[in-house]
This record gives sequence, structure tokens and C-alpha cells, in this order.
Amino acid sequence: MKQIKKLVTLLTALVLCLVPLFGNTMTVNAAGNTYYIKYVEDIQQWRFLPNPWSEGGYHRELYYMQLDLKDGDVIVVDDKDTANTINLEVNVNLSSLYVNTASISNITAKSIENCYIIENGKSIINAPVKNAYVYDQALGQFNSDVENLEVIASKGDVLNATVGSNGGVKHLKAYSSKLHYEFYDFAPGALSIVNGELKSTAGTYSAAPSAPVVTPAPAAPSTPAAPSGEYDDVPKTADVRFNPLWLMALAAACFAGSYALKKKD
Amino acid sequence: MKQFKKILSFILTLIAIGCLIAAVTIAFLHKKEDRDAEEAIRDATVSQSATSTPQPQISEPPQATAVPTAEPVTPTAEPTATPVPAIENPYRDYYLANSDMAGWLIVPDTVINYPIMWTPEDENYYLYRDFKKRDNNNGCLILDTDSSLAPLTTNLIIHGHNMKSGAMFGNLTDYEKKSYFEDHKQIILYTPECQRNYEVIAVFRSQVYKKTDDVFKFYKFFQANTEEEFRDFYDNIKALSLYDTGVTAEFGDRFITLSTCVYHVTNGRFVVVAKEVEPGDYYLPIE
Repeated sequence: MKQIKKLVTLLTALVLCLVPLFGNTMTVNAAGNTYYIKYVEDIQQWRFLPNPWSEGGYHRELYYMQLDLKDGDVIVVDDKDTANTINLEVNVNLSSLYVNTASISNITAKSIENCYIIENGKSIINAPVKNAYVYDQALGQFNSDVENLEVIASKGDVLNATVGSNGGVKHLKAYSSKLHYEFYDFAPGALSIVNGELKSTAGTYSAAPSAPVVTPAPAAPSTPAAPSGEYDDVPKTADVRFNPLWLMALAAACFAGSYALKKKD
Repeated sequence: MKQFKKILSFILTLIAIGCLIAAVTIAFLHKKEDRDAEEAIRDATVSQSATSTPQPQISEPPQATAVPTAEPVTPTAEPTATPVPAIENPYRDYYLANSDMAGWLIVPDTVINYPIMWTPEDENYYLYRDFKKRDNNNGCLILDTDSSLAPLTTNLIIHGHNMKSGAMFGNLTDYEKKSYFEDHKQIILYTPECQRNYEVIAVFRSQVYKKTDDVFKFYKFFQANTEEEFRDFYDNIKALSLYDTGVTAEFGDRFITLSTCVYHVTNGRFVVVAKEVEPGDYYLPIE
């Protein structure tokens, strides 16, 4: 019995020591839930799954997704095969929206923090967007304001995306492995990019921001200024890995302590 | 009391064993992480058949191979009259494997032989990711988003981790010794267009300051459009330099700055600045 107790104590202690090592594997998803939407040919309906799509998964009508949706959730509309369009209206503030549909998807939301239209995706977005990313051959039409719009060629150096906006666009950046162009303050309806080429009329946007796109410079002393303790934003390149030598030193100290106690007896 | 001492002794032994096991495990995980980072680069190349690669247009025999030499490159007095031969980029496969790669950095006879990543939409994307975009504490070398290769800015700032294992910029602080500088004066940057050669001009310790601090911030210098802007940077790095490298620069010269964390102060940085000298080979476009 004594032996068993000793063994149990030893195993427990080992587990307690090892838990901090593997604690990082248990990540907590601080973002909302993610919903995957796809067209199901068999029943000729758009359906959703709360997991990455699997053919055997128990997908449900979009109506049920509407009931579950809340602010901060993520929606992925990924169907490169179907010729069917989707009109999706959600009454929430989405944290992210991903679109990669062969036909045009018409998406309406309260607002979208990050909107990604990727590969050959085509989408009309009816929501104010904070950050919009249009990749490669994608097509994006934004019917509300966009704060930051990036047009990206992820493969090669040629821009191919087509983008329009009925709202204003505060900041536009188009790049591949190099910056192609960067402009600011597009008037509502002014932004037009066709196959990567900016077609907007001169005078409807500016080459420099009219207002700072970063935190405003400190105001007069009577008004609140930026925190004086804030450091410049430079990549932190320290080695963050825990040095196992500390553990070995602790082990040596514990062995020494244990030995000293036994010797005193 | 005796019983208490026995129990305490037992507990201490348990803790010691647990710490030893944990230390060995952590060391093993670190080694694995280092191996993964190396493999991510080694295995990243896209296989290209000999028939599909375009034939290089060489108008004369290449004057230099893509392999860097240990001899320092000295600037020529006049531009050469013969056409510059264009050959295939030696890192073409890496560019094709990951479009975030901006260039390749080599400091001859050191471990510094890594791709440089540039992600303007998220500067820190590769801070803790390897070349294959997997989580890895070694990260990759990062070209500061305010630096640019096309168009080329006056100063290119490259950040890299100061790894205790010596990987990445873990041995950059060896430049503190002038003898080390004497043996490692050359830095080579391979870009999509050409091989760019540099010689070390200044080595110093600095730090990241507060936004409101009115001091020389080496990490804020990217472009010198006037002599005054150039001199502000040049005079400061020369004044801060731990020793005189004997290398000088003038308005119009371009630089590369290697930066890594050190711990002499909060947010400390160790910085090596090098001046661009005569370029090497020019390359065919990567397609």
C-alpha cells in the first residue's frame, strides 16, 4: 500500500511538472464561432456547418445559422463549383467574412471587421468594412464605406482583381511582392479597379492621406495626448523560449536540499 | 519533526526529478523546433524540370558565380562598358515556394544564410513562423515594412531573433569584437533583381525608444532625400559605432541594417549597418 501511495504521489508530481509545458497546446479561441456555407446539389440548397465542411457532415438550413449568429462570428462561403448565387443577410457585426464563390454572392451584414475575397471569388458586400482584402482574380463590390482596402496578387507580380465601391474608401493599397500603388480618401462611388488597373478619375482620391491614418499626434496639453509611456512599434526579436537550464538549476537545488535533510537525520 | 523532514525530502526529490524531466523535454522540443525551421527552408523549393526552365541569356561568360566569395568586393572607379550578363536567380525556387520572400541574406562564414520575408500587411507575421508559415519561435528574418526593394529605399532594415542557440541573428553580437568585424566585413543580399554586396560601416548598441522621445532612432531611417537627412543618419551611426570600421559613406549611398534584441537596457537592440558597394550578378525575372 505504501509503495502504491508513493507511486501515485510520484506520478502526480510528474504530471504537475509537465502540465505547464503543454499548456500552450490548449488554445482558447477568443473569436466567435465560425460557420461554413456551401451549396448542396442533392437538395439544391445552400447549407451550413459549424465546422470545416465535410461531405458526411450534418449540414442545416441557413435559417438555423441565422438564429445562432451573434456579433464577432465568422462566416466562410466557399463554393468554387456551383453556378448558383447566394443572397445572405445577417443582422450581426461579423469579425471575419471569407468568400470564394464561383458565382456572385450577395452578402449583407451590420458590419464586417475583416473581409477576404480570395482566388476567383465574386462578392457584393453590403456592410461597412474595416479591412477588406481582395486577392488574385477575385471580384469585389463594396456598397458601403471601407476603411482599409488591399488588393493583393499572392502569386506572381501581376494584379488581376476587379474592385468597385459605392461607399468611400479611406485607404487603398495594391501590392504583390512589391507595392504597385497606394492612395487615400476615395469619394463614394469613385473607386474602380479593373483587372488590377486603377481606373478612378483623378481628383476623386488623393495620393496622401488628408487625415492621419495612424494615431493622431499628441494634442495641446489641455487635451488628452497619446500615452507618453508607449514605445515605438518595432518587431520584438528576443528569444522567448524558456531556458531549460533554469529547471536544471532548480533540480540541483532540490536534490541538494533533499540530501541535506536526509543527512541531518 | 523527523517525519516532516522525511516528507519534505521526498517532495524535494520529486520536484527535482520532475524538473529534470521537464528540462530534457524542453531541450528536445527546442532542438526539434530548430530542425523544423531548417527543414522548412531546405524542403521549400519547388521542383523544376530542366526542360521547363527558361534558358539564361548570357551575352558573355558570367563574371561571378551566385556563390558568395569570402573576398571583399571593392567598388570600381568607372562603370564597365560591357553588357551585364543576366542569369537565373539562384533563389528562384524559394521565391516561387513562398511569395512573401523578399530576398536572401548571407553573411559569409556565419550561420546567417536565411530568406528574408516581407509582409507589409502584417509586419510581425513571420516573427514566430517559419518559411512554411508554421508556428516556430525562431521565426524568419523580417524586412521592415517601411523598407522597400522596389523601389529601393536608402536603408533596408532587417529584424531577426537573437536565438540563444545561435540561429537567426543569435551570433550578430559577435560583431562587438573588432577582430570578428575584420573577418566578416561582407554582407550579401540576393534580391529578385540582383546580388547586392555590402560592407559593414557601423556596429552599435541602441534601443527602441518611446514615441515621444526626441532622440536618434536608427529604426526610423529608411529614405534620405536630402543631404541633411543622410547626414543625420550617417553622423549618428558613426558616433554610436563601437569602433572605427574605416568605411565611409556619402549622400547617395545605400545601406542595409541588421537589428536584433539585446538585454543591456529595456528594449535594447544590437545593430550592424553596412554600406552597399558594387553589385554582383543581375538576374532574369522570376517566372
